[in-house]
Amino acid sequence: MNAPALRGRLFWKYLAVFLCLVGGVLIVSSLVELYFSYDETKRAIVALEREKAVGAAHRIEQFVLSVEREVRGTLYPAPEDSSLSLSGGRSPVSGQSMRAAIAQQREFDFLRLLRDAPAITDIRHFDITGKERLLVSRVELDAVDGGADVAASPEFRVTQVKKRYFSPVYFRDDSAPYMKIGVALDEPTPEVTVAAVDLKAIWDVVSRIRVGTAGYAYVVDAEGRLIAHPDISMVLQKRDLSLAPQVKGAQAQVASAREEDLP
Amino acid sequence: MHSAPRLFSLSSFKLRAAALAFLVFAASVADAQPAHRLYKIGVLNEAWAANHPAVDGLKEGLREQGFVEGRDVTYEVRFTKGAPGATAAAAEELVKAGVDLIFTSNEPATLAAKKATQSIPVVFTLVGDPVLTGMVASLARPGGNLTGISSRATELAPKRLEVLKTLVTGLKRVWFVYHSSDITDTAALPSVRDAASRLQLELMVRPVNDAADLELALKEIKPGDAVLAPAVDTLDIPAAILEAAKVPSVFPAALWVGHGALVSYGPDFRAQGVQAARLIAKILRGARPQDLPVEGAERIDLAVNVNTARQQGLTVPPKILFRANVVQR
Repeated sequence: MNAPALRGRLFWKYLAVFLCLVGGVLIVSSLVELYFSYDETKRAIVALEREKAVGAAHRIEQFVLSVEREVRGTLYPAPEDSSLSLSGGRSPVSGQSMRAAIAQQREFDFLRLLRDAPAITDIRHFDITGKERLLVSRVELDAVDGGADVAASPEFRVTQVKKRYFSPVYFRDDSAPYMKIGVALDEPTPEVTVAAVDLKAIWDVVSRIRVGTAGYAYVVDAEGRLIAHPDISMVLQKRDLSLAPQVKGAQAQVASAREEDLP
Repeated sequence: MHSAPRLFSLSSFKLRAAALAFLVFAASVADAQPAHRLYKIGVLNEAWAANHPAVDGLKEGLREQGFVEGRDVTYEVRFTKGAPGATAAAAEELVKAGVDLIFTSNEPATLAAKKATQSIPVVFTLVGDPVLTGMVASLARPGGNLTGISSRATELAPKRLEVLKTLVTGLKRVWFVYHSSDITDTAALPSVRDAASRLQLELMVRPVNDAADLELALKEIKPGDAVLAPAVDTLDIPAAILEAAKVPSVFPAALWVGHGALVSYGPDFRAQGVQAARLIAKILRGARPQDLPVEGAERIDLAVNVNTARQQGLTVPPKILFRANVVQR
């Protein structure tokens, strides 16, 4: 009576031990595999995110620089030198009529820019003392010799010295992101042209970036302020992210890259 | 002979295992694929046909965003042919039909939609001044269930006056004709008056109540004058101006220049539809209209009809030609 029962119990015991052993080994090995694959996946995701961020940064840079290039194309040297001639011939055209011709050409150039660059909302030209000489706008009335004095503003001062300027992002109507781009020729005290540029095109680029189901991209300016984010209300709150580790890391990278560029 | 008591019968164990496996599978599958819905979008249009350019822009824009007609989204289009009262009825009909979102293309349609529902998202286009006309609390935070694209008509009215002045050398007097209930154009009045004095133009303001008033107003226009057409279609005033007044007139959209108007300055209708589609895509994917700021129309076009200019004895100056996006010959 006992032998078959004993064999039955022993069978189950062996089965249990066997299952535990095999199961245990399987579990341990899959845990190890899980850990490594998790690590690998995390690395892959970070690499993907980095690539998308670099790509977006590149597109933003290209956009802003292309607008700067177009505005720079409207600059003419100031006709101080009376021997400077339009035709290149021997008889010099007087400085006064040169200035008038250049002003007319400038107005045409600005109008053409409004037609060809939808991101530009208005362009202003200031003389060397900072007085507004020409305003061509998509929305406001155009003005010649409007007379506004911006000599103290950063877009004028910095542009005169550094010959190019990109303002911090500001908002029109509390909802549209803008940037002022200043350009000037490489002269000691040049005239300055400033364009107001609608940045919505950049926002569309940034808000469309997706990594996986929940990943997204956002943009901060040099000071660490949030300037683009798929949730626009966060931008309107003007969040300061300068203390976030990823922002600090990126800023450090930019700083070291700049140092490498210096001779 | 005893056999070890069986705690589980084999068949019920298989059943339980199978059930568990199925649950795990179903959970993982459900997690992997987002729920696929067919969205119903109501389109409220005061136009005379179903194919208004803003609606074309809407469909194209949504297609670009990944919402294909028939597969992801269907459109319930109601065009009311300008019949009074029809717009309000159509708005209520759309609400009853259980649409997920309503797309509108001018102020009266938008106001009708706003009245018909306070919960279904409404995305508007061709609205000249969303804050002043009461559609939204502010551009940055619309509040409520409405958001959309502002055609900036109120803001651009002075600029239209400037275009007239540039195009017609020696222009002295401009007539501003609009319907008295037209909030958008009434709101533009202060800035238009200011612009007129800066441009040294005499401005004749004529708000009209009905067709008889309109006829009288149009009769007052003398050769050598010009007309600033209203931004809103009420009483078909822009069409009447195009028909009757043989003097230079500026309109709010390039559509009119295609029909023979001399010049227009304002945003493209189709482009507004495409812009609205981006907002709509966000809403369909879960965003709330009250969190989406109202956007200003992106493409502001200057359109000029060279034929009409020739007929009216005008030469189009370089300042206009350099700026014009659309030149109709």
